[in-house]
Amino acid sequence: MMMNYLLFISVLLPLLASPFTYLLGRHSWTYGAILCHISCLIPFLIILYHAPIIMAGKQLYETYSWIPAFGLNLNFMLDSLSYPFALLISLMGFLASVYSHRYMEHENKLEVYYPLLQIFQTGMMGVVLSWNLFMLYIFWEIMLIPSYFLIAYWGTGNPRLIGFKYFIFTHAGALCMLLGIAWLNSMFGSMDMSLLLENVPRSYEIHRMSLLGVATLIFIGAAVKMAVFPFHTWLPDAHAEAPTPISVLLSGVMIKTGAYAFSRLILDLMPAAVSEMSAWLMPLAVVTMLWGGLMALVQNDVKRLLAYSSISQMGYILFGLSSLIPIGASGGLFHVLNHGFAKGLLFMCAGALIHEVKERDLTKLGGLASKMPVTAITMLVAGLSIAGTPPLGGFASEWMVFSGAFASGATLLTAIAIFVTAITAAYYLRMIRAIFFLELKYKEVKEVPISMLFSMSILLLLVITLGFINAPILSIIGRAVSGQIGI
Amino acid sequence: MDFTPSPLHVLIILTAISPILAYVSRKFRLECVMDVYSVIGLAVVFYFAIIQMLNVTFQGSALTLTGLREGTASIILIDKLSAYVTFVFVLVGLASALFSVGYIRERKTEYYPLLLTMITGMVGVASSGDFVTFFIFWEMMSLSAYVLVAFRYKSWEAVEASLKYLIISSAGTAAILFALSLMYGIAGTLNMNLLSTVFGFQDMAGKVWSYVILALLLAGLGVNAAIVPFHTWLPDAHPAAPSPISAMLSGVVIKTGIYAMFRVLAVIFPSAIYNWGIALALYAAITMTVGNLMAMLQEDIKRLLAFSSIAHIGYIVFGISLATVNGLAGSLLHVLNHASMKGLLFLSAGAFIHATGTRNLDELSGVGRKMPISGTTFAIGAFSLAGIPGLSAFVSEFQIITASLEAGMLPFTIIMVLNVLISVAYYLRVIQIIFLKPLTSVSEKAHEVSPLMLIPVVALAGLGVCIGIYPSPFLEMTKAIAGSLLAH
Repeated sequence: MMMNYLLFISVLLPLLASPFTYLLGRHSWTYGAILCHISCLIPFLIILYHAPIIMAGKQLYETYSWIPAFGLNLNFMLDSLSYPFALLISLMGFLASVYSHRYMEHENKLEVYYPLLQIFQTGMMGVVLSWNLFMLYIFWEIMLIPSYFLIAYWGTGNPRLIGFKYFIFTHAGALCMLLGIAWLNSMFGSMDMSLLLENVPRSYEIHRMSLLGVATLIFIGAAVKMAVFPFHTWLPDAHAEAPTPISVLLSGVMIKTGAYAFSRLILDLMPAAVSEMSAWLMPLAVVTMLWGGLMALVQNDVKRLLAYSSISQMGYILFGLSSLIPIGASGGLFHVLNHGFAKGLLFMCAGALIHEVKERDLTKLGGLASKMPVTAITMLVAGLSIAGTPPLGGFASEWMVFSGAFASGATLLTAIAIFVTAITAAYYLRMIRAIFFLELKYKEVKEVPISMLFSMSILLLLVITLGFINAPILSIIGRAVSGQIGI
Repeated sequence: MDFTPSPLHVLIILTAISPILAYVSRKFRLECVMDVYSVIGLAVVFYFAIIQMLNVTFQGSALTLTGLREGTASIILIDKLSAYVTFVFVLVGLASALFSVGYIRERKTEYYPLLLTMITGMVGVASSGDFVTFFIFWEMMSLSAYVLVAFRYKSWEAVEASLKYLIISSAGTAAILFALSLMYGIAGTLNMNLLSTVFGFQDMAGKVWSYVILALLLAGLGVNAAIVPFHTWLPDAHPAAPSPISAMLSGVVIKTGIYAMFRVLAVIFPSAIYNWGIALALYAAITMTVGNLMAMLQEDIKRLLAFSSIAHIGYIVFGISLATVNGLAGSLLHVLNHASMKGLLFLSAGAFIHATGTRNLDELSGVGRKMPISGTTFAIGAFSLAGIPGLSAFVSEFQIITASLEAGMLPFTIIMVLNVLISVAYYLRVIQIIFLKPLTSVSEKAHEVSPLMLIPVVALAGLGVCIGIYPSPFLEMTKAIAGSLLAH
């Protein structure tokens, strides 16, 4: 009934195309860049094409034989949980690639930049589509290595040190996750998700202590990626100093794979463990959002402010997921999309400033609203969306998160979480005021090139429309959540 | 008896002829004859090693050549384990010889006979069915290794390192010899198969002498394999040798000790009776931790790689200490992966040294951008040994970790995972220095080495990627070998 190889292509096409991108790029970087755009666009079209199937409640599953000795197949699964993530990743990958075209044009070694971007894209798609924990771990690391090089070579500030910190933190988390996966494998003799989904929830009572250990290890792995409070220190450096298109992908997309790992490996496999752990997961989530918000309030660097804001927003996502109430968990997953699009858009706007004004310090910017009207409007809308202003996307998802958290009985924590949205609004409005109003300090500034505006306008459209035309995506998310928590 | 040439036969003949050929070629000032002779000879041996491995592994036939008197005769026994490690030894040997063609410029007529002697010794160790033959080949390997470390005898560093190696290693050999004499005293034979029937019984476990023998053997083999606290010679000897020899020493010579441990521990003194698992795991944990921590502190690229070898020996010994099929299979696969990847790293580092003349990491900064091919292969080797998935060493490390969880050794598993993280830190540091740091006055002048030297490097890197992406045949094979060892 369905065409084969589609998921295989959507995961591995960018990786397979990367050597050609390099070879073309050595001739002229523009050709390489165009190949990169195309190879990132096709997966998005494939994912988008499957929307009706997923909405009808079906799944797309492909399997290829790989390492029989480990009982390993190359399995890909597109179901209602991975669909929103795959959509987000493939779209943002394409837009970031297009955005790079003009943004990075004056940098060195672009023939290496675009292949790395493609491999990064493959890693992220692979994490959310693979149906086998071993594969998931491999893609998890494929995601890390190119992003490390992208930060350490094209980054600003002290990129090698920051890249090193990023690599070590994330790899430490990944090794915790690997230990958890290996432990699961030694208990159940398989790393295939279908088998695990069948066996693990049933035998939770028997293996309670071991499974709690596994859940903790996997949570640490996911938490480092999500930058949950004690594990967050790598994020402000890496996201602020990476080249902007990569910041878009890191903050908009990559940290969401942590949320995916949390919901797939812990919520799906061991919901009982989450309900035991939620007594400290929810406070941790609130501390994360409060800490990120307070730190964002005092930043003067645009990108650093956005990076701290990402930490804060990941707190909302974890808060919603760990409430274990269907509407809260749906809100958490929906916030993945809303925050992904809005934060990607904000980083693109920050990149527009860096590209046109060559300045990212809030105290030195000012009065740009008349010079860069489109950037001003998009930045305002995206900031308001994250701050939870109706009728934008962020409002819908935060509303769901708070409803779920109230329903789970954590009244005080929810009150704090709602208070944090006021902090969010405060730092975004402060940022908008400092950049676009006050006295104009730059005369010779014009709007960004059309290809960058293209990426920004698509995201702007999504940020606005997800606020009220969200029934289709919410139906998919709702099905994913009801599969996990059950109503 | 049907005679098919085994790699050992070919090697012995090659080695025996090589001094004569060396003498003649020096007379006629045609030293490049030795290049061609060694490389082609080793290629032929490599071919036979593959054939032998396939024969032994898939047809299950163990080759035995024996003298007349049972009990004291010299025996050549080639089972699955021997054939497998022979393949590993000859693989790295061939790569080093090929690299030497471009790297070794002076005194080729002395170099190649010594290299061939060393490879013959190693293959002989792996093929011996009794401990006398084993000991003779062991000394053949060790003596040529001492001389090769001091190959550049005009530098004081090399001579000092070689002397240190000689003294410590001889002490280890003496321990082995003493253990052998005790074993002969108890069992009346040094035939490995007969010994396993003597010591493999429950009532031998109560005897003090059994444990004395075991301890002496482990100490002696531990010196060769550089298990902490017997490791101190390694970080001096491996960097001092010429790079292809470093690749041999770190890649495979220390694996002969590991090979002997497989024989002694899994077959002759089985864990079920002598119960050495936890003790050995403790040594393994100390070894990997010391190796990794020391590697973090190094400024010399070859010294860093040498300490990393100690750490990886720790992983391998940890796999052995589990004494299960999965653990042994992981260790065996890690023997191949570490040998090929560490060989690759030393050869790539040799290419840097060849091009810049320095081993100091600060001076080498940015050299990978000047030498893109050897830089990339170095990065592949480094990422592989750092345990990045998709490359070979990850597969075996994962196998060892899973096996240790199955065996219920969670604390040791956590130590190993922490160690893997430390190894990522220092390998990442080296990769950063080589690729991302600005050029220095030394590294600016570097040019890519000759294609002949790049062949072995690229081939080993390709092997690393292949095993990483498609490990099934290798895993199946090592599992079969581990199963046959434990079936004794």
